[in-house]
Amino acid sequence: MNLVSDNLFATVTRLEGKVSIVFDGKSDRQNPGEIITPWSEKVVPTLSGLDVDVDFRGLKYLNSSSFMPIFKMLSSARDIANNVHVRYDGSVNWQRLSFASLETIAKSWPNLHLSNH
Amino acid sequence: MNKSQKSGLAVVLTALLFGLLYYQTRPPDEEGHLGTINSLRNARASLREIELEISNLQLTISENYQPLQASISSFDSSLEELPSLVFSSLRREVSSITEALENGSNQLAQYHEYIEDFQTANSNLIAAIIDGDTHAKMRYFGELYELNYNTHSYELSIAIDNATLRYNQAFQSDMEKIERYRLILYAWMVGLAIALTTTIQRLRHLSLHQESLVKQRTMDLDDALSELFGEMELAKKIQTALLPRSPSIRGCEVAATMKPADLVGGDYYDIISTAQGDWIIIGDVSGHGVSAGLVMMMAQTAVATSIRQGANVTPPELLAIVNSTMIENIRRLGEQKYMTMTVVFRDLSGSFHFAGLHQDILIYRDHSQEVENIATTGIWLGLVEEIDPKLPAGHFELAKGDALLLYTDGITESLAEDGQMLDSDGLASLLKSSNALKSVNEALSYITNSVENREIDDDLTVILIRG
Repeated sequence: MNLVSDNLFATVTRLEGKVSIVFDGKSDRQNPGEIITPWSEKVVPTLSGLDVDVDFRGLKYLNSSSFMPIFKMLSSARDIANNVHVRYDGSVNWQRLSFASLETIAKSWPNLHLSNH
Repeated sequence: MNKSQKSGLAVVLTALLFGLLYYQTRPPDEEGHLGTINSLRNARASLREIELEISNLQLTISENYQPLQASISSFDSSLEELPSLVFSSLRREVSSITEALENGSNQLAQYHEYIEDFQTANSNLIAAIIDGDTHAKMRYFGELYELNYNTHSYELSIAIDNATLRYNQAFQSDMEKIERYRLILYAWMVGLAIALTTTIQRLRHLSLHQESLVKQRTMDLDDALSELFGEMELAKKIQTALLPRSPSIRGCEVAATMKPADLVGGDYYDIISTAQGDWIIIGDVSGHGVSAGLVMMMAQTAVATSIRQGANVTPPELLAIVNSTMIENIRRLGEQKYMTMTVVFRDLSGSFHFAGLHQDILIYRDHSQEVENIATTGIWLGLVEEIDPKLPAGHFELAKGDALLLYTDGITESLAEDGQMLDSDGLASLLKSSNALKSVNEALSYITNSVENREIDDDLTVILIRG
């Protein structure tokens, strides 16, 4: 159930009670939702009751159009998963700016956790 | 007559009787007999020669028959592969067959000529026999000759007839095949010519039809494009008309520019002066193009309306109002859009208050000649239903000689030839360098011209404010 597109990749690994999703590559398509949304619609229903770890630190670039489908995936995952832990690299400017909104939102979403290192 | 005379007479009569009998039953004349035998031998020799010639003739026919059959087989193969064969190859096959048939015909003519020679020789032989001996010899040897002749000539005749028949049958069969194949070939050629002519005509007709369709479609497309570009131009005009024409902020110099990546962009900036102070707004709708431009126009309307109606609204409150106004409309558009936005309010005392998550704010400090980087906080618009209007606001001052730079990611994400982004650090350097320029407009041009050779895939907006 991995995501494999021209530049963007996500590897899904399942352990006992936990799921790890690691993003890699870069998302610079004009309409990245065409790739991310169908994939997330398959993955998210399998996350029910699990602890989900989503790691964006390996991403080289994420354009502005890519954030919304990823945000919707995280939002849907949070609805059914036990906990969703998002990891990004705060020392990279575009990553810091991209996930700053999530930092604000996480304050009102108890099972969404972020770490920026 | 006494007894001894009678006995003598009986002996004499007996001798005469035996002599008479001997005379009557003596062998034929040796000389005539040998001549007849020689004639017969000659006739047999002639017949053997004839047999030999006939055999040779059969061999010749047989030898010619094989290549003829091979040629016909080859012709058959060629005809089966006719669609893929060139006509020259077929012509060579036909020529080969024709040549083989001509050879066979020549052999047959020679054979008939030989038969005539045989018959002439035969007649001469009979005449020689007739002229050479007695009637009895002639009849005797004539019978023998006739017996031999009939036997041989009959066999010969049968053999010749059979050979002739086989040859004629083969020849006829081959000719029929050739004729049949020729007819098939002609029919195929005629069919091919008709098919080709029909196909060419259809293709020509289709081509004309297609050309006509293409012309019509091109005209339709041109019309649609003209209409679309007309509408796009109109949208661009509307968007441009929404931008502040001569932006000004009390006690500051201001210069601003926006360069959309497409005809219609998703970047947004505005400067609105009210009795309470001056608002500087900058934002960026995700993506670019018409849909982003529409969201931008919604934002502009929502911001302008909210500021003018709510005299004492704070930056976080303004963002909360704009978010609640826009989010339903964005959903109705069916677009996965959101908007970064920072609103800065300069009160009448000269203090700046800001809120909203967008790019970092860069401030060139004249006293230190360094660039200060202030991170924006909050949340993007369009992500959640409600934004807390009590979110903390930031604050800064702008002294004389300081320069405030607000921008969208079109400039910080512009790429150098080596693929490196300019980033906020690179932009800070440009801001620092631009401060040497006297006018704010020159400084802005310096910054935007510095990234002209970089790869820019997004709308680009820069607002430069000098204290």
